[in-house]
Amino acid sequence: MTDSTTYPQGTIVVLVGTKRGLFILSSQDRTRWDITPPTLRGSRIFHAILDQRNGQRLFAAENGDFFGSFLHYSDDFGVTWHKPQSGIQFPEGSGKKLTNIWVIEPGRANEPGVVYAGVDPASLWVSSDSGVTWELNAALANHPTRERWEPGAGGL
Amino acid sequence: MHDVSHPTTPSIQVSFPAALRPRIGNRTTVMVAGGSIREVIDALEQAFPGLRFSLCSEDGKLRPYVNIFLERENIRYLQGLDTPVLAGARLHILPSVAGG
Repeated sequence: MTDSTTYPQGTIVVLVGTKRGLFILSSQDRTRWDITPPTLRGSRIFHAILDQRNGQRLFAAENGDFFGSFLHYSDDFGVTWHKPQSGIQFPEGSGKKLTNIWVIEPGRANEPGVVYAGVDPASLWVSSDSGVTWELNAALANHPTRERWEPGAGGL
Repeated sequence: MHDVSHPTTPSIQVSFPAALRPRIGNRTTVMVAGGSIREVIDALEQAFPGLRFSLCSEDGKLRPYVNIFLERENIRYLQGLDTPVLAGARLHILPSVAGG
């Protein structure tokens, strides 16, 4: 299947993140599937999700071994991608360095521009403009019990 | 011999690995100005906002698997980001060969 910017209503779309990019699988009947050539080719995609509250914005979390972690978004199912104007980066002097973007989650239906991202080191990032700019959730970042949270892979 | 021209003259050639070329308009090289590696990275960030984060983490240090060679010398074995760069120099950005 060639790159697609739209899918007919009722199409089942599955996003598959791999170490070699993001594949978009689509089906009308859940039996036969079309697979796009990988988009974000060569990027290690931990997570991707489609936000249908405001059009069809696709988000993807790239966690590279060499050049860092980045959030991307696309409004044409991966034909073109954009980076946030103000992305997920800890402030200089915070002592924290972004290791991985783990999950991206659109907010509730009644907050159409809100998108959340959970990252390593453990923190919650919030966008209120559909992913164009991101801010660290200070309440969790500065929580007085934070140092006592049981560390896991992301510090939780 | 290097041309020691004014440091604002973009005479330093920086070559990029394939993985970073989409972030510089799919070019292979960029000409910038700067008197040190740090200043070259500043100039790259100005020309291509967000590019610094691909090279350096939030603490300002070069990412562990990113290597910058000044001609044939890895800057880690020179003065790191403070390594002086003369006009006409060539820099090469290379990812480490890693994995198993």
